[in-house]
Amino acid sequence: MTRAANAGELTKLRSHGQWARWHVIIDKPDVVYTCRSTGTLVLSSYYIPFDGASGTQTNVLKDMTVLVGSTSGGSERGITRVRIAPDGDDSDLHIGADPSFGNVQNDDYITVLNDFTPFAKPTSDVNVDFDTEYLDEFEDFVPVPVFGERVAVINAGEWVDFDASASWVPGSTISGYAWTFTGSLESTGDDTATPSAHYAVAGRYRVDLTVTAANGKSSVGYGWVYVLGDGLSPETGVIIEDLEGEYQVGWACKMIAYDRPTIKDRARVVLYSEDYFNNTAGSIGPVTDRENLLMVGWIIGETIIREPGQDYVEFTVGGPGIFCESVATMPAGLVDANYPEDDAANLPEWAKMSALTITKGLHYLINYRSTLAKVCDIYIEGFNVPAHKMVSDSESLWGQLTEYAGQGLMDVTSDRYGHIYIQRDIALMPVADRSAYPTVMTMTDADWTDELAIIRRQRGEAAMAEIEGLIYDAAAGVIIPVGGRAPGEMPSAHGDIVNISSISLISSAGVLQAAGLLMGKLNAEYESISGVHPANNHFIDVCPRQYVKFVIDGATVGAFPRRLTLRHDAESGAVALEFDCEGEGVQYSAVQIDYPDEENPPIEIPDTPPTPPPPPTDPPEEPPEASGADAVVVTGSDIRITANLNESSPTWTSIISGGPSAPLDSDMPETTNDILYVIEAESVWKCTGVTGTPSWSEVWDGASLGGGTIKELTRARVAPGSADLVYVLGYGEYGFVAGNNKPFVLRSSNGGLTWQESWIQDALPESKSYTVTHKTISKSMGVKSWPYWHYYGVEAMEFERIGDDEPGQVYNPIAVAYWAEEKIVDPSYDRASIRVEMDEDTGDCIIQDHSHTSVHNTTYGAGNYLIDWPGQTGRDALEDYFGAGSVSFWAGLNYYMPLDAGRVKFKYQGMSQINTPGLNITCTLDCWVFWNKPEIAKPTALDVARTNSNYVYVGTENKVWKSTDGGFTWAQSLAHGSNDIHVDPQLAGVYYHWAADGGLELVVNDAVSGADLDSETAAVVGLRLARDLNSGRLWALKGQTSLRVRNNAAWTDQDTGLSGARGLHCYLGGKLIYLDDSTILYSTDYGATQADKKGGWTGYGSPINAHLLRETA
Amino acid sequence: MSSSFKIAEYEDGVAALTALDELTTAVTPDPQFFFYTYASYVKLGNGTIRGVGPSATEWLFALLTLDQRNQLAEYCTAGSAQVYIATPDAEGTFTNYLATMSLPEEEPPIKGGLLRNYVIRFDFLEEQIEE
Repeated sequence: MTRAANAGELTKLRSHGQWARWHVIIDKPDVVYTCRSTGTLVLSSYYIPFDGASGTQTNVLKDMTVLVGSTSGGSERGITRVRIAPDGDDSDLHIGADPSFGNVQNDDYITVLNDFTPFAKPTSDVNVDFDTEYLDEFEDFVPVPVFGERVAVINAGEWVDFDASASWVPGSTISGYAWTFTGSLESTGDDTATPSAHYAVAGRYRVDLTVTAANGKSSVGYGWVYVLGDGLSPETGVIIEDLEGEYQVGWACKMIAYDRPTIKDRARVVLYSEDYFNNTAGSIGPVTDRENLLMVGWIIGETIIREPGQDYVEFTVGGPGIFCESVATMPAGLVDANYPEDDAANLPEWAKMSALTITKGLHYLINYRSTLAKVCDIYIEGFNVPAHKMVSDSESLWGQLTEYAGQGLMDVTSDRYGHIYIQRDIALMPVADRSAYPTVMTMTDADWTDELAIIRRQRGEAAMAEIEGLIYDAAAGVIIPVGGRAPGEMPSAHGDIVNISSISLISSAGVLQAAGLLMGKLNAEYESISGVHPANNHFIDVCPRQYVKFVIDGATVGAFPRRLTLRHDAESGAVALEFDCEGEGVQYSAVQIDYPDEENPPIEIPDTPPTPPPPPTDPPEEPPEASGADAVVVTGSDIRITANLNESSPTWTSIISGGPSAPLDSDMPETTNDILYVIEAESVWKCTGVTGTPSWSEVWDGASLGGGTIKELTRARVAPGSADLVYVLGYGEYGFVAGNNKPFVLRSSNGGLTWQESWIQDALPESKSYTVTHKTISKSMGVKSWPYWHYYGVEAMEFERIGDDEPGQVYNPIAVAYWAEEKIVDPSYDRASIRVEMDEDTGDCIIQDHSHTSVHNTTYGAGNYLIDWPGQTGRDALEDYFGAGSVSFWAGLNYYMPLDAGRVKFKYQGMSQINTPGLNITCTLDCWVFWNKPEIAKPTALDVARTNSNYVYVGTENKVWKSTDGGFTWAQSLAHGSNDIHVDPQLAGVYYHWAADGGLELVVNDAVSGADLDSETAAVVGLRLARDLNSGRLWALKGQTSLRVRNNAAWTDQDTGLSGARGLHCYLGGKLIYLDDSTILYSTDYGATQADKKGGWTGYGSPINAHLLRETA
Repeated sequence: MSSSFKIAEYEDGVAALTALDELTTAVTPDPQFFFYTYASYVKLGNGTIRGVGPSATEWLFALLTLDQRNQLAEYCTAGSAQVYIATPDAEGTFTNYLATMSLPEEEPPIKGGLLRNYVIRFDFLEEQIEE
């Protein structure tokens, strides 16, 4: 059962002082009947002859649990069930025909318990449950009782409600309910779906529900009410380990019980809790009257471990899923009676069913092949999908249910209360329908501890998802293959292909939808979101379908719980829910799979492969060449162009006149040879008529910066395929606060006429030159009774230095402040103080008690001491934060704290002298640490995606930032810096970059993919990347000393011994130009050989950039 | 005036709370006490702190005779037991609690027949509301 937690419940889940006492009831069923065997098991009819009976035989009901042992109440011979209820004077007990149960000896003790557990019902010959002959079970189906809840734990004197309105029957309707509340004081609504029962006396009580269907069939199920009191108490001496739940199998829990010689297989175990919120008792949960329930299950016999010589026993309690995984069963198969190929006419009646559907097949398993309907609430969705055949040879009861359900694309799962849900995974439900499922709660960072662990997919699980199955036309007795592929036909070279087949379907539209949803599930952005929720949370479960949503970085992400662990610290009582959720996906489009039929015969695969076609005689067409080898070279003091780069000593003509004087970077559009953009420290220049009559204009200057003060422009980039869309990268003092430098990006979409300015915010949002971390703690010191000095401590507060995970950013503590307040009646003697010391072992700076530094003079004595440190910067920060004039400084502590101290600890110790006994003291300590705001790392890299010019990447010395809206907004792409970025020519979300700390990395959707593409680990400054669009070769000017090319996943040094190399640019056809301090190097063979083309250019200056011009007319 | 610090066995109920200085062997003077509002704290994702677990309190007896120690230990014969106590809450108001009493795992050394700084801890404090 699930529902959204309401506002009041959410408040409790977010309250302090949550804890719980977990309790366990290991069921001890009362004995209904005992007798002694008078011989061995009679296998021909599976009964045990007996005598010496005690008890009323008519109280023995079908499916009650039977123990057989050599001692009274023993079970070492085995545990089975009553197969046929005795009629009152029987001397044979017919038991379940479990082939493993046969070792019954004369004079064994037979004990029939007032209990029912999940058993499989083996088949025999043509019958089910050994000898149950078919009558009309597949014509008029028996109803399936659903109690709402099968178990309740209440206190004596309380009422408990049930709701059987979800009881169901294939092909008919529920027409009547009859409840029996044995042991209750009174009850109401005994013939309705929603009765109530009142229990006055402690004990264990059975609840019987008989549901009747309109077809005249009826069936009975059993539930249990545990009434706490003098007659029934929770177990003592039991250690309850974590409760763990998984979507596929439900819940389980390990336990250790001391002094328990009688722990038995199949004993029902009920875990419940006394919960406290804000130290006030009261459980909350999704189900009325069952808020305290943690889990319902049974002891799994094979997990019981008794160590010799030890006084404890270990065992596992499994809910229906885990328990039924260990219930062995025999293969189960059903065929539609109208399906001709299996010769249904000759099949036994129990193996064929008219109008077979997935739901009817599951009904067969839970009623005739097991006792599940008697002991569990089972919910099956209305997927009345026709099936021509249902077969499962799984050896476990749960496996059979899973395989039958899977044929309808459904899962079998179980919640903590022991309900079984057979339903389609929420991830495979149509997106539009999901609003019907509750969001149990929306978590923010105030709900989980520390931080979430998020696995974000770097690429999808599958390139293509296939669903294949059959539509069964029962009237015609034919099956039609159908299938869907999402997002469409994809070759396996694109990635994995996930296929689910043998699904029964209603329509071809359904298969397309299912394939699209499966693709969405496999490619959801968030593979996993996990964390710890420190609360008594009984709301979140692995089923039925439900959402848990997470607010991550301002966005709300839908997710589905897949693995949960409820953890209880017995010493402190604290409870935490560990969750692992799967992110929600969308629905992809899908195409139908064409299957061969008579009109479209299958393709015959030849025995030998066909002869490959001859190789082409003509060489592939060369890309257009840059005619005349035109090039532009930009240096720190000149800009020149040549029209004869092919010659050994080209002529270089300066075009810088009237333009910039100290270029820092440049770029040219791919679409024209006649425009060149050049940046200086505080200017953007545009040159038109580059190959004709150059004309310069300063299209932006530093004074134009609106948000701050210009420091320097660093990179320029014209969007591929455009002449007018220009991005310029720079940095400046944002908000006009000295030292608060941030990068910004200028964007012009009209060739520099107008500019949009966008600042990239780093991790420190406030426009201050410092940042503050603050912690507070409050503690009652209790009543002091003596006229005596008291020293009392408050837990130490530790401030980890911020920003340590951000390369290039160094935060140092520049000031600390504290406010210590003691709430005490007599103010004249109380003291509060701190002092600063350095831990000589670790270098940590520790702030400890500083004796006698404080004076108190208020009604409620308060300390107000702010410590300057280590100079004016910290002083300014304190004044700015607390207000000028409101700060008193304590000098002389500077030397205690080294600037590179890794962290700051406060250890507060107050002391007081109280002259009046019986005064209570409460002290509160607030501590602040002021950190300098580091200089933002210099922006170093800029690139624009070829396939989507709104994708812009910026690298700085410590981060990579990404904008997907043309530079309006920015988000962090990588948490480490970059020397240069080159966006993949086909995928806007993929880029290569040379990390600031060394190594060429491939980044896919903001995550580094695989190992470095270059083994170099040392930092490389000034590296530039270029890529040939045709061949895919990637060049790097590594360390400004060598030209390397990456081709076929291998690197080759092509030109070494360079000095200060920059300005790498490549053109189609393997043409490459780059510069170093003294040469202009040009290659026409993909960098294999190169020649110096500096010619007669003297006074060359520092290299900046080089551009090969596109083919001129 | 008798002590406001009181104790009673679980079986006897909250009504049986007896002041420490009125026990068969009087325990005086009153102990110092420490009140812990929560058993522990966890740090949440937004940097705030959440107190988890129940309240606890400690009674610190600066000096205790062996007879006085034995008197108190009668309430906790198994090393840990549920008892009722009256002790100051976080605000210093004496409040009746059901609590799990634990004697120190290691007793302080006995000098001159006296135990110094003997600490009894009471966990899982549940306030008892008078009806």
